Amino acid sequence: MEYLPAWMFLALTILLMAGFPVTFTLLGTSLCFGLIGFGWGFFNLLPLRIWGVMTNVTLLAVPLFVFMGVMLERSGLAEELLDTMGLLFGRVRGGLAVSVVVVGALLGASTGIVGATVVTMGLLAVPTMLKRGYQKELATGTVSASGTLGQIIPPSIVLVLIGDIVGVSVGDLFMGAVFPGFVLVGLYILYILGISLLKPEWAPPIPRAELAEFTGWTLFLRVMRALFPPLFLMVAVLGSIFFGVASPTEAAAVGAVGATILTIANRKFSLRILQDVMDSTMQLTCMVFIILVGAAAFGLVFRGLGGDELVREFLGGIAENHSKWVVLAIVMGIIFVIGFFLDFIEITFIHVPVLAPIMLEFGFDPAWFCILIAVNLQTSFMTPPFGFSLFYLKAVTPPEISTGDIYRGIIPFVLVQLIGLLIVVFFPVLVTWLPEVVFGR
Amino acid sequence: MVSYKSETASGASDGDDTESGVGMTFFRTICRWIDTLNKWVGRGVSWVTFLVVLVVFVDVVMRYAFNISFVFVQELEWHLFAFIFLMGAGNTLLKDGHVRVDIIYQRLGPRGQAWINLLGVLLFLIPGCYLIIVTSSKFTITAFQTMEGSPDPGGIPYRYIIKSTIPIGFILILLQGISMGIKSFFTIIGKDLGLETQKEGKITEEDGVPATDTDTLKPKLDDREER
Repeated sequence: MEYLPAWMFLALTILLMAGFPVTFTLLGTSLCFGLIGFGWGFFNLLPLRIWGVMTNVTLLAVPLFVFMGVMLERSGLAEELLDTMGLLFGRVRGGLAVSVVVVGALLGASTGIVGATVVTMGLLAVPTMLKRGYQKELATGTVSASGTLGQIIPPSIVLVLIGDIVGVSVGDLFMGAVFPGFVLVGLYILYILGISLLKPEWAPPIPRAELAEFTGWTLFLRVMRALFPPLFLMVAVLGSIFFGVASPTEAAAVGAVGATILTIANRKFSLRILQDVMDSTMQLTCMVFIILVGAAAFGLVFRGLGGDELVREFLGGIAENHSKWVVLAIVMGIIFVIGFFLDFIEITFIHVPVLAPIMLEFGFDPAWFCILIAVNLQTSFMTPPFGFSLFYLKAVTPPEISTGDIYRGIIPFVLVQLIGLLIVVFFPVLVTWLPEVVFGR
Repeated sequence: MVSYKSETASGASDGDDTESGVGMTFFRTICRWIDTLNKWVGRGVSWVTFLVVLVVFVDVVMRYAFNISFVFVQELEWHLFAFIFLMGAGNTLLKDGHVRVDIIYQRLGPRGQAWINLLGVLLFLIPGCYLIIVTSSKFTITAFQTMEGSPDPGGIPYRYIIKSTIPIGFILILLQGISMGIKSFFTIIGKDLGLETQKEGKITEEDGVPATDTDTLKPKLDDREER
C-alpha cells in the first residue's frame, strides 16, 4: 500500500504511451487508483478542484495570449520580418541564419506560439537558406530551435501555467525570463557565427550585388516598417505588465485587440480568418485546460495516497547524503529526459506540481526554479523523437529534407540549450535582478 | 491531422454496407447526430473566445480611461473562460484536438489506432466522464438548491448556472467519446460508416499566409512511413 502512488505513476506512464488523449488516461488511472485507495466518496473533492481552475483569473491569460498569437500569425508580420532581417544581416557569413534567430526572438516576444512560428519560418526561411547554399542541417536546426524561443521569451504561455502551479506571480516570471531569453538568443547567434567561420561552405553570404539596391535610407525605412508592429505590441503588452499598469491577463487582452488591429491594417482580415482564429483559440484552450482537469484528478489521488511524501522522502534522502544541488541536477535531468517523450503541458501539469513544492522547501528561489523548468521544457520541443518543433518543421519543409537531417540539425542547438540552462543555474542573478530593480524588492 | 475517420476509407472497407443495413444505419445516425451537435456547440463557443477578448479589453479601458470597474464585468470574464474550456471540449475531441503522446500511436495503421481509441473510450473516457458527471452533478445540484449567486455585491447572481457547465461539458465529451468508440469499432471490423470527415476547410496558403492548423501545439504528420 505504501508504494501505491509509485505504482500509480508507473501505470500512468505506461498507459500514456498507448497514445489515447492524455486527459482521459489521467482520469481513468486516477479513478482506478482512487477507488483502490479510498472509494468513491473521495472524489467529491474533484468538482472543487475543477471549480478552482474555472475561477482562476490568471489562467484566463492563456486563451487571450493564444488569440493574440494566432491572430498575429495571420497578420503577415512574420513574412515581412524575415524578408527584412534577411536583407539586414545577409551581408555577414551565416547572416540569414542569424536573421532567423532574431525573427524567432521577436515573434517570441510578441506571440510565443511555437507551432505557428516554426511553420511560418519553415515555409519561408528554409527554402531561402537552401537556395543560398546553406547546409541542410544548419538551416533546419536554426529554424526549429528559433521557433521555440517563444516558450521562454515573455509573454509566454508556459510561464503563465508554471507560475500558477508553483505560486509565483506571472509578472515576476515574465520579467525574470527576459535575460535568460537574451542569453539563449546570444548563444544561438554565437553558435551560428562560430560554425560559419569554421565551416564557411555551410553558410554562404548573400552576393553583394543583390543587396546593393537596399542600402541607406531604403533599408532603414524597410527595417523600421517591419519592426514597428512587433515592437509596438511588445511595448504595449510587456511594458504594461512590467510597469505594473496591467495584469498579464489584461495585457493579453490588449495584445489580442492590438493583433486584430494589425491584421486589419495589413488588409489580411476577413470573417474567415476571424472564425479560424477563434476555432484555434477554442481548441487550444480546451486542450490545455481539460488536461488540467485530468491532472487535478491525478494530483488529488496521488497526493491522497501519500505520493508527495514518497517523493519528498526520496529526494530529501538524496539531499541529506549529498546536497540539494545533486537533487536539482536529478530533477532537471528527469525533466530533460521525460521531455523526449512528453510535451510541456503534461510535464507542467503532472510532474511540476509534485516536484516544485519540495524543491522550494530546499530553499531554491521560486522564480529562478520556474525559469529553469521553462528553459528545460523549451528544450523538450527540440528533442527527438517527440519534439513538436521537429514535427512541425518536417511537415512543412521540402521532401529533400529528411527526418534525419532535421534530427542531426537540432543536436548542436540542444547542446546550446543545455549550456544556457547551466548559465542560468550558475548565475541566478540573471533571473532575480530585473524584478528586484523594477519592483524594488 | 491524421484522423481515424478519414482513414477508414483506406482500411479494409469498401463501403459495402448492405449486409448489415439496420445496425449500421442506426449507429451512423447516432454518430452523425453527436458530431453535428458538437460541431454547432463548438461554433457557438468559438465566438465566446472573441467575446472574452472584448470583455477584458473593455474592462481594462474602462478602468484606466474612466476609472470605473464593475464586479459584474470581472466575474463575467472568468465565467466566459470556464464556459469556453468546458463547453468546447467535446468539439475539440471531435476534431481530435486533445493531446496524445503519439510516439507509438502515429506509427500505427488506421486499425491499430482504432483499437487504441476503442479501448481508451471504454476504459478511460467513459468511466472518467462518468466520474466527473456524477460528482459535479451533486456539486451543481447543491448550488441550484440554494440558487447560489456571487458572494460579492454587484456580482453575477447565477453562479449555479456556470457550475452546471461542468456536468454539461463532460456530457458533451462523453457523447463525443461514444461516437468515437462507434467509429473505431466499425473501422476495426472493416466497415465504412460513410461519415464525412470533420476536418473543416482550413485557411491555407491562399492568402499568402501559412496555415496554422487548429492544433497549433499538436503536430500530426505523415512521415511515419519514412521512419
